Amino acid sequence: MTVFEFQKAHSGTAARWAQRLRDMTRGPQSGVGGSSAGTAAARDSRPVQADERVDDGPMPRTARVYVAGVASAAVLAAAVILPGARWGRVDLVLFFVLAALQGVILVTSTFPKFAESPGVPASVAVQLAAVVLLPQGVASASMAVGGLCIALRPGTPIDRMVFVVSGVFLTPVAGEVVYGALHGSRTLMRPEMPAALMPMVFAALALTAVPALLVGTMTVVGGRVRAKAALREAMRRIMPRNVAYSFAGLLAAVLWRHQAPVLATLVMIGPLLVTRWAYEQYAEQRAAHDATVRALVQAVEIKDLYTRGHSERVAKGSEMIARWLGMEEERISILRYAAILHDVGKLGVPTRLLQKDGKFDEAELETIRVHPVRGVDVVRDIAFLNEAYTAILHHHERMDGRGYPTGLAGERIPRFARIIAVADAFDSMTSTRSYRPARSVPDALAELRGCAGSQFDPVIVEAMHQALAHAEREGKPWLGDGTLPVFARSAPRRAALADAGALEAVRAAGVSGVSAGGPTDGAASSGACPLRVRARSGAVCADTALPCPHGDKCAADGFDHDDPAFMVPSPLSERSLSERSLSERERQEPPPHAPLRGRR
Amino acid sequence: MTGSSEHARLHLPLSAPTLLTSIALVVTGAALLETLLRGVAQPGVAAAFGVTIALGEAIRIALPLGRDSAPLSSTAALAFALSVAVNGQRTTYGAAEVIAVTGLAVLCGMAVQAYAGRHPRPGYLARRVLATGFAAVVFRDWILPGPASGLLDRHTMPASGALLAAVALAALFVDNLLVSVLARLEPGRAPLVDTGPSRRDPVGLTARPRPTARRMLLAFREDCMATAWVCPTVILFAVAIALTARSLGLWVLPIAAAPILVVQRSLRRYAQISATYQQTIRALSRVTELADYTEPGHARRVCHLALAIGRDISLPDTQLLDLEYAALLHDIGQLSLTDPIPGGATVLIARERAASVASLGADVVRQTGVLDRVADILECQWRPFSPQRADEPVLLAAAIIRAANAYDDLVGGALDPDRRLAALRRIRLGMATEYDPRVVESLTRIVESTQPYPG
Repeated sequence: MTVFEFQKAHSGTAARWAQRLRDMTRGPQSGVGGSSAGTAAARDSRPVQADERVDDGPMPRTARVYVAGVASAAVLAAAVILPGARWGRVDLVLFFVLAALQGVILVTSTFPKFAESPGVPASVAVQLAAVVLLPQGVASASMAVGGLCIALRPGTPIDRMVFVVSGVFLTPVAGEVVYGALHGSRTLMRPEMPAALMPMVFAALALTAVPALLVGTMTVVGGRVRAKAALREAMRRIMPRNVAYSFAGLLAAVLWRHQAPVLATLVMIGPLLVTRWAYEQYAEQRAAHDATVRALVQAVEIKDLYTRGHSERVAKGSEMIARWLGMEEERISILRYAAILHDVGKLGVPTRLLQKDGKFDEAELETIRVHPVRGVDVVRDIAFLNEAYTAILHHHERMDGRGYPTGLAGERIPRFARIIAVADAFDSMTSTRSYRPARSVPDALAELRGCAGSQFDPVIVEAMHQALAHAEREGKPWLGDGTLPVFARSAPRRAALADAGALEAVRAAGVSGVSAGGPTDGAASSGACPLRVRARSGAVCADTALPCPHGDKCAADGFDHDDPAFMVPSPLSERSLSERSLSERERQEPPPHAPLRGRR
Repeated sequence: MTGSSEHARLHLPLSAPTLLTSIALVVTGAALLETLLRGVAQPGVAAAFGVTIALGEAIRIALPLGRDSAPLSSTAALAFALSVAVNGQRTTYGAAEVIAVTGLAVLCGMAVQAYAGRHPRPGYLARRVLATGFAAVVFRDWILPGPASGLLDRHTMPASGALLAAVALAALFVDNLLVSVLARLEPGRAPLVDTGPSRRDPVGLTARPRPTARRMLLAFREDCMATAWVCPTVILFAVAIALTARSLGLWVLPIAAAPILVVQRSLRRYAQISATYQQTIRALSRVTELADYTEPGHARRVCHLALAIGRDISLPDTQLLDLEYAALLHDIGQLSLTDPIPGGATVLIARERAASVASLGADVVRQTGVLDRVADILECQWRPFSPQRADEPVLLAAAIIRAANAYDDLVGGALDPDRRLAALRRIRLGMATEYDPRVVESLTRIVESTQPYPG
């Protein structure tokens, strides 16, 4: 039934259910929905997301109670409605054709291949046709017969089956009641006809509202979706689409009465086939796109020796934060791309600079500091990434306005950029570097909190904290390094350069001559920086080259990019130290869509 | 790709799409005139269908592989042509009214799309008007008064349904036929007829021109496959509307439009992700130039040139897509080099080095798991020409990229004609030993007839 409806919308929550269902139905027959080798490869190459991991636990008790309630409601409805059904005048062909259609839609919807495609709208269309064409009671019986086909799927647990069959029975009952109450037409012929459309539309509304309600409640009872989110999703996306699609059933009913049963059947099935095909293509292209972006970003990471897999993990972290903040699915997907691509611009920093000994001159510093702009230069032509441009451009800004490249402050920094900044810093701290071990998650979180307000947005830091705690409770702790495929070819080079990297890190921490000066005002908080790995007097923050707000104890310079190239004093420091006010700087900021030109 | 549109290789006073569009405009104008002179038979019906067609046209989408598709509009137009009775009354309008209304509505919808900055492929109007016009003339002027009038009056269902479906199918075939004709006549595509004067053949190794009829047939089949999923639904709904309009009246239009819109939404998502994919690869092809491994714009210029060659020697659309991606990513292997090759010019380095760079690039692309054919092409791009295996798609694509890359390495974005000729001369010296002669011939033709692509 409508179990598949919610899974895309709440993939972090209902996805567990959907995933379970998909896995259950994958069974021996998964070959039916067999996919090409290419798609399979694409699917395999996707890293396992913390939220996507399979949960084989049983249905929670509350959900079982709910299923029992739905089942008893169905039994009650059957007891009221079925005895009054007039079986004498039933067109048996119609009865079984509709039951078979319902069964086929139901069973095929659980094929892995179709799991993403909408089976429900088509099922609503069939139910509308049944309600209109068959006498009261008979229609719901026919649908229930179709619903029993779910038993043909091996491995479907009994509670799931009960829920599906009850739902498939209760939905047309609601439709029948509405249609009967409004004295809907049965002949569907001329004198009654255009006027009889209204009851049909109301029946269609009932037929879409009931499953949305049943499944929505199920996900809420399951404890993973907030009721408000479920309602919003149903009203905004599911109901309009299902009502629109159910009109195919209306058309089919009229055609059936016009002695065109074959055409009527095809009208109900045809759009479903096209939609499924389109969804399949969509899913394939989407997987291909993701895989391609990942692979190419890995290729880019060849140059950046310390950050293997970093983009992936930043994407994962950003996604977790965004989900916790209740962002919409569409925006989350854009954020994910932005996060994966956030460091593409680093490629514009020549290897020569990344491996350079000694001090950097002004031009070199400038080159390093424009890497977000370069990143935007690359992705500018990808149309859908509109919101991502600004995220990539501003992911090194700080809340206090001392970041780069434009020195935006506070809320003026795009939200995506603030999210990526936190995820970026978090991953830098929790992954192993050649010159220091990875820090523990609590350590890193404490550090983030210490810098919230000055460097990071406190709301987002808190969201990261909560999202991680939630994932931990769910048994999916942050795994950090080593969970993602490493680009194999460059491994020897990486090892060879590890020692050099360690040396450079130490050296870089000492390159602080440019920005002498005491701790800046305001930002100097309690100095609760737990980690003092690279603490030394005069340490500066990587991004701003300003003396660290926590004095010489802060490890914040290790936040963003632990690779040596970024441990440099930046010209921005002089700008920040001068008397220029924040607003002045913001006025000079170029519009986000016309970023500064790069070298060329 | 904009560059190649300047040269029309067909010796016609007008390009074919323009010609077909003019025909469509003339037909619409004539139909409009006739309708106005006779008076609109059923203004309400005409207006309702017209509005639906215009709406469907205004939300037209471009399916992957570049085909414009407006399912709602085609369905409504066909249903308009095929309706026998609306709300219990026999329809009295003729084919001229159908053509006039469809033409006007399509023009309105196209205006909306043009306002939003989306332009259809050339000749789109001709497709819509001529295909609908075909159905209208066949059905309204020939079948309805003639052979099948009795059948449709008694509305004996299976037969009349099948008849309507057959006419709708025929109309969509006409549409597909027009698509394939237009596609082959587009500038930059392989010409339908060989254009003797520009083809020179100093070595006697040029491409064997395929028979025109066969090429047409292949294109037609390709186009039918591309729409194999959408067309049946259009036919189904057109026939369903035509049949149920008798009892539902014009209400049938919004009722049938709703599910079609759901279908179209899913198609749009597919089209969007497909377009995004291409944009992403185009965008990421710039990382090599960003990292100073290649000259600015190199990947795009090579891609443009390779596609022009591919079209010139009639590669099918699917191979063109692989070729495009491979051309964009052909230098990605250089990212693995510690020191950039001077100017990124792989044409100037030793073959062993080129092979290793190519294989590094192929490895990167193979990582995606979905671009295996592209990776194969990249792997082969350093290989010299071998006549025995020249027709294998992978090797042919690799040969195209090799030649396009060599040309661009030698010329860059330069506009200097001497430099272009010198580069061509150098490449032609390697013809048949280094480069595939067909490709070099094609490259020569294209370079001689186009302005360089700015990148």
